[in-house]
Amino acid sequence: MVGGMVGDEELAAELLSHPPFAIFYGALAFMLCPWLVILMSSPRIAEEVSSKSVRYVLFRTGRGTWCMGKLAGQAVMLAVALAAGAGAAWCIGHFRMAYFEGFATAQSMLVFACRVWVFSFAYLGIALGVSQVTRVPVLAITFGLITMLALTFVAAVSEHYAAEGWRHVLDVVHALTPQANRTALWRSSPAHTIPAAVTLIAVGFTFFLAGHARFARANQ
Amino acid sequence: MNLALEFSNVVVRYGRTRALDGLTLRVPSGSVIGLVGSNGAGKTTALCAAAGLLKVNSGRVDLLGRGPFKPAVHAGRLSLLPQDAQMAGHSRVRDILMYYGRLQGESKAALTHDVERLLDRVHLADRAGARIRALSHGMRRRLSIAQAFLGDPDIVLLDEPLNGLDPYEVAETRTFFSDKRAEQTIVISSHLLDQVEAVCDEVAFIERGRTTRQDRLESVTRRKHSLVYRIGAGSPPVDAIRDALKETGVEVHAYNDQVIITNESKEMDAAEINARVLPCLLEAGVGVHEIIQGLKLEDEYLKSRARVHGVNS
Repeated sequence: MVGGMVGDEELAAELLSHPPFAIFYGALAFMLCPWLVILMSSPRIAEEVSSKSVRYVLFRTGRGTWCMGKLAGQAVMLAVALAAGAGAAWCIGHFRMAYFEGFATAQSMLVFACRVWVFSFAYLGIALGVSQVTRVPVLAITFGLITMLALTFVAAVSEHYAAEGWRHVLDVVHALTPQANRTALWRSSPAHTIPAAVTLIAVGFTFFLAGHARFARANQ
Repeated sequence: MNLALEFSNVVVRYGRTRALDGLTLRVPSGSVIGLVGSNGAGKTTALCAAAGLLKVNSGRVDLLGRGPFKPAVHAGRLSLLPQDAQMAGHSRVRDILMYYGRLQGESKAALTHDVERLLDRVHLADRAGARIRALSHGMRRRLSIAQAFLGDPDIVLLDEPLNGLDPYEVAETRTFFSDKRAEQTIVISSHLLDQVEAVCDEVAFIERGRTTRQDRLESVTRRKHSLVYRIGAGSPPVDAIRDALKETGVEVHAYNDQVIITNESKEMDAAEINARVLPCLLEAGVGVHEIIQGLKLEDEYLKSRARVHGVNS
């Protein structure tokens, strides 16, 4: 069952060192957080442009500073949401389950919550990137969802068709998609987690900065 | 002359539309200047371009002698009251002012005092803890005015600041602006010409993205060079008035329900002119409703507008 959830038998064996409740929390968080991030964060900048409330702030500070502040604020909100979700799940487990290893589960959930935060940061970058290219909040959500689905498609296609020769480039493309780095975040070895974390944060910043290139030049 | 804001041949396009079409405007430091013009003339665009919200396609905007708006240079030295922008409804009145102040680099200690002073000045001290969505339209407008004066910026750009205010608040706000004269440069875009006349010491007419006239308010209304008699029914005795004023060097014009006496070359002695003109008007049986020193800004603006758009437009 664990193998099915993470898609890798070797990894599944490694995960068995964690309490099952924490693995279940991690799997759910990895699956749902990107969707929540896209739905909640994509309209953040667009709605301020749409209501023109941005006109009260852009003469007080630089556009880059303001947008970075939004990114930082959303990243903190995401961390708080993950912590609150983990806390709530732990409480449910603690009070409702007959056999519950409280400390070990909390430790593993904290580790998974941090990794989900890193994974979701890539989607936060996408969300705030698309939020800077349109002044219509609903369009921002739509662009965010399209980008997310397109990346999932690219990840699947590049993984499937990667081969020797020129098609080796598809391996590189695959490695740059958020989905390709999710498996590495399940592992405990820093040799897997650190490159994946760096890639995901770089992907997040790339999308954020691409959107900002448009926002920095646009009339507000 | 020390300039706080200067537009030199500024062009701003929205697609094919030239919102500013070579706008040239000079705003002296410490002045209160009114921008007056038709809807879509480019007033709001000009203010937004000055505040760096809009990109200028050509020409140059110079703020405080330090080039176009740059956050690193001008943050905290310029502020804007946007025309129809909304503040975040969930924020509280005091908190949003503190946030704006911190954003422009003010210290928390200085801000606390500044925020209380401004809330008191715009009569919102008792609503400091209220959420913005709970405020009326007029209260939100007063909050917008307060944010524009946070940290006493050198130049304040106000787009229709008196819209939605009740008559008492209009009078109070007008006094507030007048008190700021010489301390700060204030640019007011407004359609309320009597308010512009009451507050501003300089005025610029803007039409089709260009300044059609910019001058001291005194010069535009020719306060010391003209007398206007608003009269009742009947044709004014223009020839008799001209005879009575023959040696004074003034010019006499009749325009709608007005007789306008002007002397471009020197200031007039209003008492002397009245002594000669009033008997002529009364003798002709034309009722005198009002005598005004200087022309109304509205009349001057409408004449100027007619020259740009054509008389019938």
